[in-house]
Amino acid sequence: MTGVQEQITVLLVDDHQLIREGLRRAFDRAGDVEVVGEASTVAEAVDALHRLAPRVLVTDVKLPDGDGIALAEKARKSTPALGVVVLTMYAGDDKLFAALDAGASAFVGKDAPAEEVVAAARHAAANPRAFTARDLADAMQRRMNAPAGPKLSPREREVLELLVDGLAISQIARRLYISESTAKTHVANIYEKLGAGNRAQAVMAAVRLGLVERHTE
Amino acid sequence: MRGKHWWRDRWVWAIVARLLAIAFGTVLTVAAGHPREAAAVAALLVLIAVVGVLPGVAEPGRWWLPVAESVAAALVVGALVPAGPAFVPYLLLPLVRAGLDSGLRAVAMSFCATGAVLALTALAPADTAGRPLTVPLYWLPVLAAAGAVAAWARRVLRVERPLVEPAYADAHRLLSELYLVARHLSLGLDPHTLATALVEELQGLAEGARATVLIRSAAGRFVPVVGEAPNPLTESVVLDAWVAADLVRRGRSGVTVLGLPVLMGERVVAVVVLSDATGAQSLSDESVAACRAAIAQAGPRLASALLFDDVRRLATVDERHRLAREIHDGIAQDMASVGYQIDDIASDATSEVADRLHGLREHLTTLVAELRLSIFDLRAGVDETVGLARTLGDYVQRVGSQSGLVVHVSTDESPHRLPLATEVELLRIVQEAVTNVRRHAGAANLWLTVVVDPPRARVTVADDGRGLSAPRPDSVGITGMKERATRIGASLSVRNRSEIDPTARGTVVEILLEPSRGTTRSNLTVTDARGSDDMTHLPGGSTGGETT
Repeated sequence: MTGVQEQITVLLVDDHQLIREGLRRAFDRAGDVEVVGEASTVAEAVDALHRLAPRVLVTDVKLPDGDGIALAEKARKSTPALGVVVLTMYAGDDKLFAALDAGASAFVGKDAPAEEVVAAARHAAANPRAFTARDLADAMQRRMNAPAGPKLSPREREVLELLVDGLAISQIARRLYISESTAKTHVANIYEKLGAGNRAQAVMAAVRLGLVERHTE
Repeated sequence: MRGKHWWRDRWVWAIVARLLAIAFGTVLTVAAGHPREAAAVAALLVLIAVVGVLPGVAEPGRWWLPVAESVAAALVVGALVPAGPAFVPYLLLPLVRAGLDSGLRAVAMSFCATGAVLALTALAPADTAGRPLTVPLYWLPVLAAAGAVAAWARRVLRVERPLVEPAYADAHRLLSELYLVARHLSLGLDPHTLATALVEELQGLAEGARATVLIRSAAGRFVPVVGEAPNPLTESVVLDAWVAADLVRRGRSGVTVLGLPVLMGERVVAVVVLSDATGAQSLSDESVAACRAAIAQAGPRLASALLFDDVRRLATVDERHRLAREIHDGIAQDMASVGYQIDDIASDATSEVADRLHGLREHLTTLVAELRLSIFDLRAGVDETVGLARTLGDYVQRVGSQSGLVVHVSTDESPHRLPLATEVELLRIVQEAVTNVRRHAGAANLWLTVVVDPPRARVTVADDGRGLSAPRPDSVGITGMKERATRIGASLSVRNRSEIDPTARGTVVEILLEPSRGTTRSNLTVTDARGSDDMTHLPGGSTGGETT
């Protein structure tokens, strides 16, 4: 906050000192960014956020005493304008989407050059609410391409259709020539597969997922 | 004599017996008018007794202790025999002890030692008073007999004298067995083999019936270890048999279905389904009773195998996660920080050096990206709430796109699940196959097909790279994949795609899980509706899942 120009203040959170040193040097080189503090644990980071009020939080996903993404989420909630850059060594898409859900501004792998982290911090300072990640588009596509969600057996499909038609379990059992307990098992399985807690939710989910034809009255 | 410190009790008894023998000898010798010799022999024997039986020295199982005591006692008694033949009974005690503690061999050694020492002492100068110079000969058979009886008693007593708490002894015995089996016969203790054996036995007992063994997955589904996935009728029978822990019989339209719980103690570990579509003859009361007996016998075996499988899987997952952590927190971070240092140096360097550093940085970025994927591989597992096809598809998409491969996934998955252990192995095989493609194939496209119809499954990983022509440096990887396939009873082939289609380039890895292969009875499984023709053609490149 020396005020020559509008400096971007950064808090660096990573439990590996060499990583922090490397990034600090990269930020120093950048000129418009100033590292105002470093932390190696979630506890230290929470304290430093309060004390230093940085504009951007740069944090690793895995910290010795907790989860960097949870830290990011909490910091974002208490300071809506805070820029959040999540660094990671993990490769799974789940971390990327977790960072997105936590309200992070950017997600950068640790294999990327330091300049990318600096660029992400600049982006986070300017647009804290716009998420960016190098393979975001790929990850989104992967998510779309993932084999479709719940799969029902042919029998369950029949039961589901009758459920949607509003038949009671005893009626379904009679209609399909199965015992009532078997019908119940099918219904329970359908609920489980659709993540539904009751008939209404199951019907909603089935229609939403296109598992049954929408009935036009 | 029993209890926690049984040997300590015995030590008390041993001392008492020795003191009695000494007292007996002393009294008789004193009565015979030799108080001084009596005192000398008694003192020496007390010393021997105390040293020989002292706890700490006298741990049971030290075979040489009774021998040493025999020698010492025989020396004393033999040397002073003219004064006190009444001390001879003491010699019985080391022999009895040899028998009780160490068995017949120690008795024989003690006896020989005693005899030899007595013979030697007999060579001493004759006594002036003309008393007998040595122990009367009839003592020798008495000594031998006492030792032999003690050795026999040891054998009898030993059975009732557990050294360890029985529960631990049993647990240890079981674990040792498991260990042996697991080491020497890696296929002997897997649930699949045991269940197959049980199914074959049951089908022999109930001629004409079809048997299936199902276990309950953590997500609460019933998964066939051997045989067909359950239809609604069998599913309800299985559920009832599981809950009731008892035989459930149900029939509908000529089909009789029996659910028999496999019990380990009170707990149900699996359910055997016997079904007969030919009429109820094969499931007569008599054959059902025979089947129940066979299942009762197989229960503990199957339960142990399932448990062992779980233990092995947990241990493996644990170790994989530990490795992932180690890479994540160690080498990967170090290399990433080296990358940042290179970035730093490159920013100050002359343009020529910066160019070279740029190349180095790219290489390092690739290495760190590889490490990230290794961590991802190690942590990847099978989620029981998500289908196997989805798991494999996600994995291949994620890893393939990172390596610039165009990934094509085609899946056809029934809602039934394969056993968890099988799914995990299939994932590991796919991981290995995809890693091979990424590292060695130089391919542009990667095709994954997953067809799951428990208990059958077919998974292929194909690429359009350089194929198998050159001997690959990763034959170890292929060996590993084959081992995993064998473990789940699947067959694995690695071929050039040109063998199937002369115009195609690249390699295809195929894992085929077809349980009917292993069994001799042809009527064991219904015919696979999908047929094998459809199963061997390669995907054209369809993307996304298709519904069953």
